[in-house]
Parts: sequence; structure tokens; C-alpha cells
Amino acid sequence: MGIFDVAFLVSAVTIAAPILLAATGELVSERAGVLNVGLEGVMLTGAFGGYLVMWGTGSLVLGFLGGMIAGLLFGAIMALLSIEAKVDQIVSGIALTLLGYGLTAFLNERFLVPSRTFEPLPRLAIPLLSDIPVIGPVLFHQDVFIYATAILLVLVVLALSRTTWGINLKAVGESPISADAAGVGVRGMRWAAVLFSGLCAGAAGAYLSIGDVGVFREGMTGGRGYLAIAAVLFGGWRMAGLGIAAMIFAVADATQLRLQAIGVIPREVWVAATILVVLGMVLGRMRRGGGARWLASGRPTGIEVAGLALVVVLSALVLISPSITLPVSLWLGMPYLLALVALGTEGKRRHRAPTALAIPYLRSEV
Amino acid sequence: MLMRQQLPRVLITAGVIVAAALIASLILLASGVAPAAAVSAFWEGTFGNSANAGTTLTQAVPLLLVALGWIVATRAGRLHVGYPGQVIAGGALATAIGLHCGGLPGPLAVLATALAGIAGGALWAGLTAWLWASRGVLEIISSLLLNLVAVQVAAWLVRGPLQGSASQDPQTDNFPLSTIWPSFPGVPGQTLSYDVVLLPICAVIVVLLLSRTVFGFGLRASGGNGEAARWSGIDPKRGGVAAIVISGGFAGLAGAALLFAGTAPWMSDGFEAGVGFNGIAVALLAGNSPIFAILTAIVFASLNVGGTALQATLDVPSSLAEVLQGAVIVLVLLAAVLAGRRRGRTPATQPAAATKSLALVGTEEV
Repeated sequence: MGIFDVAFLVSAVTIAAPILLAATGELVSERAGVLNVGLEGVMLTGAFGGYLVMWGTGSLVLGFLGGMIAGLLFGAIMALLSIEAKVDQIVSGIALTLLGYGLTAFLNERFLVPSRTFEPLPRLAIPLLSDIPVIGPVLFHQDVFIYATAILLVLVVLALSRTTWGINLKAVGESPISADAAGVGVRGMRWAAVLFSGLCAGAAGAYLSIGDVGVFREGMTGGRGYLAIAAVLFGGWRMAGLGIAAMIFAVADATQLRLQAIGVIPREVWVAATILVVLGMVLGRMRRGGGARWLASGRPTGIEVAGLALVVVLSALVLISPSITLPVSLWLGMPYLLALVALGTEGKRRHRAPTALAIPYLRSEV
Repeated sequence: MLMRQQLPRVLITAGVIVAAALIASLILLASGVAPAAAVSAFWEGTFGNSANAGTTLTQAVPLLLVALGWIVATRAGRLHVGYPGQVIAGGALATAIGLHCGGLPGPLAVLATALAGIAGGALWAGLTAWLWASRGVLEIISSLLLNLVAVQVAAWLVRGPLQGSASQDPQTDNFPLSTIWPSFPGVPGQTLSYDVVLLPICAVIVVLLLSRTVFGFGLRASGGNGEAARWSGIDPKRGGVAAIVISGGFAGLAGAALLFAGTAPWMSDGFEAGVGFNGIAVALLAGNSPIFAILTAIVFASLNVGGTALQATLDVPSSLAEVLQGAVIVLVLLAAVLAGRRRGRTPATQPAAATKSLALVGTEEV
């Protein structure tokens, strides 16, 4: 009946998974001090690499492997430029993006004709768990990639917080000179982190092309790499925040997909938006105020006044429920707009960026 | 003196062009096209006759304008990448104004479209600048997201408010004749627009602005060392905002030039055609020198025009040009490092200084 049904949640998870995987890789790389802005290009190359191998062999496993290797190769270029050549990381990221777009479009047009369409990854039901209502079909009746992503996320969280390797990695991103003095190889750590992010983005790209859609199209990542970078920023360089950010983007994306099909915006969208805005404002206040007096403390900020105005407008829309239609292209822009609003309203950062982010490490050699 | 400073830069550029030519011939050989045939087709398509040379020069104008924007922003330490979005915003506003300027006399109408383009780009860049200065959002992330939003807004405009009445195609009506930027009557096909005078004029303006004015000094000071700038009474935030808005103005003018001095007298949603990112590449290839960027803009324009010619005559996908443009940036970055190493100084000092403010808290590494 409504638009927020089980199928909606399933599609949101499918959208979130590749963004989450790419963002996890980016998080590791940024914690080591390398800002990979070329993530979009790496993802696209992974999507193409997966499709290329699949086109040749027809094997899904080899295809994913191909995507990961392609991502790894682009990760290696990024590492070479940013760690060895010590080039500005933003500039080398732009180079990767352009190279990724051009190379995949050229090779696809020249060598992979006629294009082939493949079956997407089969969905596997986990016995017992998949029988739980709502949660079962959403979380436990998914494809292998989504399970693998979930496992990898847990592993990365554990590695970053519980292992010496993870602590060394974060040290390299905070103060490479101290890490170096303590005997941690800055170069090696950064290489490992950047290659890992390439691997993740490659696999995420391959999921987009052969895992989900089943075909490669020019520029098919459509900004998901940028969303992944935004998720890391919005998440305050923490895994939990990153998960929340990816979820918000995915729900926005799934909503716009749904609404495109429906046309007129149903009342429940306005209700959901109102609740979200109120929730966001309360959370923001709790964060800032702290303690029990959080509701009463302080004068409202400009953002909060704007938020209140928004709540009033949205409530009015809930009551009136006008038949508004939005053109498809404006819906397509919605997730990015939401990411911008999320970044802009976040206000004072609770977590700061790794201190040495985007600064090449120059070892003083005698 | 000037020659001696410029000589290594010229050598680097020549080396990069030779290496890119090698890569191009390898790709051509791999796809079964004789390089000699490709070279003659490329030359014929770009500078072989005056009509084609006019097209090439005219296409260099938007590239140079974007490159100048990048140079100004970089000097102030603001590495944003919102040029594609700003080109689109400028072009869209120029279109909206231009479609209603049919009654104005020629020079006034042309001026109106140019100013509208500048205003559109500057306003779009203003969003990035505001998010950076008052909300603390990294300008690179907000500009990337705004690019994606701009693409969708343009797609909506040409299917909605600005769609032409003549056909169902997603494009506007033809621009009124008086708003079309005039072209040299001597060149067959009217391919050489008078806006090529912008090539030297704008480059010189940027050189003078940066090196001879108090305002330019302020920009460079805010990009160099924020702390030092603050001590000498210069607000680095104000410099950063001004630089981002100016670069948006240049990109917006590029958008107007693309439409009103382009081949088709209407706006469709793909009119940006990669100019935003390629303009960055033009500036990088020129080592961020405004004067030298004139030359590299012409090189990049000839890659585009030549790529199309290759597709027409030899059936090579025109995305070959994009591959080469990406490869050129990577080569430029590596060449700059090699040149710096030979001269025995660390090449990363400049970019490190430029990105220091990006890392929120910068620490010096020795």
C-alpha cells in the first residue's frame, strides 16, 4: 500500500551497501592521512573491470575479482602520486576521476561491443533468520555481496580499534612524524590503506555493474563515489557516523526512486520528513547541550529557527496534502542536496579530521 | 631572466606532450588504426583549414576561462572543484536572460548574456564559499555535490521552464540572433568567434590582478600562510570567499561562451561537455601560469576537436580524447616531481602549503 514498505527497505539496503563499502575504504585511507578524492573514478574503474572480466569469462566470481583488481590498480596510481611523488592529493584525485571516466568509456565503446547483460547476484536466504517478519526479508534475504560488506565492516571496526595495526594506522594519520619516530613505517601504512580503499571501491563498483544492474554504462556510478566521501566527512571519521550517513543517503535515494514511479507525493512522505527534521533538531541540541537540561538551555541558533520554520511548513503540507509532482531530474538531485544540507547543518564538529589529512609526509633524511 | 624561468616549464610540457603522443599511438595500434593515418586526420580536423582552426580556437576560450578560475582559487589556497556546476549555472542563467533579450541591440544583448553568465557562476560558487566560510564544510566536497545537483537542475530546466516550444526535444528555443556572440566574417563557416580576444585579455587581467594589486596580494597571502596573513591584517576567510566567487564568475562566463559562441544556438542538458574538469587540467598542464594556460587551453581544445575528427574519419571512439586528457594530468604531476627532484628541492612544499588549511589543523613536518 504505502511507499515505505518492505520492498522499499530492501532497495534501500541494496543502494546503501556499495556506498558503505566504498566509504569504509575511504575511511581507512583518510585515517592514514590520504584523502582520495578520486573515489568516483576508482569505483567506475571497478565497475568496468568487473564487467570486462564477466564479458570475457561469464563467471561472476572472476568478474568481482576483476573489479577488485581494477580498483587496486587505480589505488596504486593514487598511492604512487600521493605517497611517493607527494603530489597534492586533491589534484591527483581529480586526475584519477578524469582518467577513470575516459578510460572506461573508451574501452567500453571500442572493445566491448555488443554489450551483454548478465543476471544480477542471486539472493540467499539465511535459514530461520530470514523468516522474521520485516527484518528477515530486509537483512537476511540479500545477496552475498551485502553479507560480505557487513562482515568486512565489523572486521574493519575491530581492526581499527582493537589491533596494534589499527592504532598505528590512526597514528600515521594524526602525526606521521611521531609514528615514524616510534618505528612505524609511514609509507607502508599509507600504501596499505590506499590500496585497501582501492580494493573496496573496486568491489563496490563491480557490485553496481555486474552485481546489481548486470551491465556497464558510461559513468554509471553517477556520483556514488562522491556520496561515499561525503559520508566519511559527515560521519566525523567514525564508523558509526559513517553508517548513519550512508543510511540517510540510501533512504533518500530509495525514496526518490519510489516517488519517480508514483508521481504525486503521498502524505506519508511529508509525515516522515517532519519527523526527521524534528529528530535532527533534538539530536543536535542534545549533542551541544549535554546533560539533562538540554531542552531548556541556550537561545535558538539560526539553523534551529530555520528548522522550526521547516517543521511548520511540513506540518501544513501534512494537513493539506496537496497533489504536488516533482520532475524526475529534481528527484535525482535529492540525495546530493540532502548530503549538502546534512554537512551544512551539522555545525561544530564533534570529531575533527585526522590532523595530517591530505598532507604528504616528508621524511627528513640525512 | 623570464626565459630562464620559463625554460624548464616549457621542457616539462614538451615532454608530457611527447609521452601523451606515445600513449595515444599505443592505444591506436591496439585498436587497429595506423598512427600515421590518425595523425593526418587529427591535423586536418584541428588546424588543417581555417574553419577547423576557428573551431579549435573558439573551443579553447571556455577551457581557458575555467583554468583562470582555478588559478585564482588555488592562489588563495582554495582547491574547489565546482567548475562543472558553475559552468552549468552560468550557462543556464545566461540562457534564461538571453532568451528575453531579443529586442535589445546586439552589443547590449551580448553584454547581458555575458554578465548573466558571470552572475550565475558566481552565485553557484557562492554556495560553496558560504558553506566553507560559515559552516566549515570542506569546499571540495560541497562543490562536488553541487556539481551533481547542477546537472540535475539543468536537466530539469530544459525539460520544464526553459523547454522550447518548437519541438519535444529537451532543449530551449533558439537564442535570438542579437544575443549570439559575433564571429569573424572572414573565416568560412563563421567558426571563429570574436570571443577569442578573451584569451589574451583575461589571462593578462589575472596576471595583473594577482601580481600588481593589493587585492591580489591579499588573495595570495590568505593562500600562503593564514596565520601570517591574519597578523598583517588580512582576513584569510574573506580572501578565500572572494577567490571562490571569482573563480565561479570565470566558470560562469565559460558557460555563457559555450552556449552563445558555440556551434548550436540553444541550450541542451549536455552542453557542459567536460569543460569544467578539463579546465582544471589545462591550468595544471600550464603549471598554474595564466599566460602559459592560453597555449595549453589550445592544446586541450585541439584534443577535443581532433578526437571528434578521428571518430568521424577513422571510427575511433572520441572518448580517446578523454583518456589522453586524464593521462596528461598524471604525466604532468609526475613530470613536475621529477623536475623538482633534479633541481634538488622538495616539490611538495607548495601544495602542502595550499592544502594545509584543508586539514583544519595543520602541523609542520620537517
